[in-house]
Amino acid sequence: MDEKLDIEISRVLKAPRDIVWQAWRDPANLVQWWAPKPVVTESIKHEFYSGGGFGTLMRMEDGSEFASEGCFLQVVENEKIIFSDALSGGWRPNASPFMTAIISLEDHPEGTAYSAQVLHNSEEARQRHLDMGFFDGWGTVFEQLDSFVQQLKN
Amino acid sequence: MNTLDAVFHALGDNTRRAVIARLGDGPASVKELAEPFPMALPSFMKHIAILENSGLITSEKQGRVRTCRLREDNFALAQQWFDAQRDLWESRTDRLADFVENQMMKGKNRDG
Repeated sequence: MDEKLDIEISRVLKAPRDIVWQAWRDPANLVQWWAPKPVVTESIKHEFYSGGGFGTLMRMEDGSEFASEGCFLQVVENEKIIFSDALSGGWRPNASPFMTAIISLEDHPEGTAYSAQVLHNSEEARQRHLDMGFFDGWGTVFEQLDSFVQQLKN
Repeated sequence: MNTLDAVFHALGDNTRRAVIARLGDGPASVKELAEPFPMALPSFMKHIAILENSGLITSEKQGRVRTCRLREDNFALAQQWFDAQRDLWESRTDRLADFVENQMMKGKNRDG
């Protein structure tokens, strides 16, 4: 995997890995941090093993709902969680893939070094993007957009 | 394709990104833009058409010269999309940090 292709978020979490793991493993915990308040997250499916289904329903304050269903591609205790909405449970292909997330946990003197790498896609043109090497261009696109927007600000 | 898809499609190619990068320095004629690329003009014009359809650039013909320039609004659209995804995951990770640190505190209180 190429770091240039991803959005990557890293933090040192001041808790040992097993506590972080529980925050992901137990849906009752997950719903407490998954979406910002006042959005209420409901866990629809949380088969926390490789190939298991992962479903959340996010309910907005105005009553509108946003459901998403994915698949845990890889679950390695206290180490790694990979899930994607390209598939649902049992590796069944989904209609509109959007992202793959790779969550990594490592020991750190202060607790846990936590990182989330997120690979995105745009829905309709995904295969064409892949064919055309869209992801190879991700880093370049980022840099260009960044510098372009900086220029606009100046 | 909606606009965002068209933007990503347009940016999904080395030649077109190079054109965009060049136009970042200011407007240029198609002839000038085509020069660095080892391809026939009709092929190059297809790239220009894709960029134009995506709304990333506009072109204007005066006499026999077609001049291209960047359109800023659709760049902002793509930038906003990237930013929104980053914000979502940054704040989610912040909330996770708060949650696990609270769990730690609760555990300590129980033990003590």
